[in-house]
Amino acid sequence: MTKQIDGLGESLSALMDGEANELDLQRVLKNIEGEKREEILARWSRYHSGSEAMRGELPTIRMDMAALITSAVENEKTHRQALSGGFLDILGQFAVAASVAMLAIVGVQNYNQLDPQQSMHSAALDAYDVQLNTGPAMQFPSGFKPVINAQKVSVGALQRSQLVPSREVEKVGAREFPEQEIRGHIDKMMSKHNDHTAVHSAYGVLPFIDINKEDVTPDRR
Amino acid sequence: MKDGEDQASDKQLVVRVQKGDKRAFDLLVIKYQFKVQAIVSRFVWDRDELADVTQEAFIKAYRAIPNFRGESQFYTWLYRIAVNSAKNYVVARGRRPPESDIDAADAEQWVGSDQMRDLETPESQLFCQELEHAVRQVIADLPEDLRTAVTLREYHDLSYDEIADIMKCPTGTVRSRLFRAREVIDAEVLRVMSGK
Repeated sequence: MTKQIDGLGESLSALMDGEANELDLQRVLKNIEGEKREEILARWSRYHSGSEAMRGELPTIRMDMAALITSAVENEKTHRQALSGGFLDILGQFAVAASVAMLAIVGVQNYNQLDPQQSMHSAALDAYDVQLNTGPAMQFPSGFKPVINAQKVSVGALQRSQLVPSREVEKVGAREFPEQEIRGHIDKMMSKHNDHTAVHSAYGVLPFIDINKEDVTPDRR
Repeated sequence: MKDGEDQASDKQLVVRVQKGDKRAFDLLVIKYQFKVQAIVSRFVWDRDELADVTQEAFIKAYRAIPNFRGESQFYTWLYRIAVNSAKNYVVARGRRPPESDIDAADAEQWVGSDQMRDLETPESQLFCQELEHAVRQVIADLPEDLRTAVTLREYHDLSYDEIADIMKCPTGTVRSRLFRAREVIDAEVLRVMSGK
């Protein structure tokens, strides 16, 4: 037996034990497709038969179909694994995470656009817009199609704060003015009003009288 | 079955097949063809049917091997494919498959039904008995270092490193001793197979 065959047999033996290194594997697989194919496959089969015989596990049905099966497999397409499984797994996990993040962002954006108050306000404005466009001023003779050369301004696009009339009210803290001072200010205003009414109104003859509410309540008279 | 070493060996070959090396699948076919036949013979009892289903099981395994992630042993995975192929075959022909399944680990030792015994020819039974006897005799006659190495390997399922520790020698020596022992056994297997 040549040294080359010995090396091949040792690689085959190591492969059988799950102890083959990359060189062993390369050597065995390379020789399988060469002229030693039948010899290697036969030896591989005998090694396993010897191992099974040692342990009393020899299958009693022994139809040698290897040539038939390998011939059928030869017609099958060759598997290709371009990238390692680990890298693909990481790439897959990253893709899933990115998809989830994108869905979350889109979902939040849609949720913000569906603010109930804004939706109701927008619906009211749309109804108002329809009313304007279908009124008598917008009714034209049949066949007449006016050309409106003007840029449409959508009120719906305006901010809510721009649509609702508002007045800035300066808030003054209650404790900045003592109650006595407030009461004096009101009395002064009422007196001024009384004088003004007496001069400019028909009811001015009636002087302003500060009466208690309890005195004019009918039930209590 | 030597689970650890078989798993490691199979994994190496499966990875090669997944990378597009069909030659590695040839080794898996040779290693497992008789075991798959033993499983399939529980469902079909005709030799031609047995051959067809066995071949179909291996082709299905080859097609599905890119999806094999090594979460189970290759043999367990192949066993399931073989059982499903056999069941589908039986059902497609209007027959009833056996109600109980056998475990993958027990499949090799499974004695089988009367129908299966029909597939076992007296010659095959005699061959198995003769081979087992011859191999045990050869091992008993091996030199001490080779016998110890092969015994620790085959019967006790130890790795090369573990055997090296026990035998107080380098791992490379263990590897070499196991190969030499196998060469002696192989010569005896070849003699029995050739009927000399």
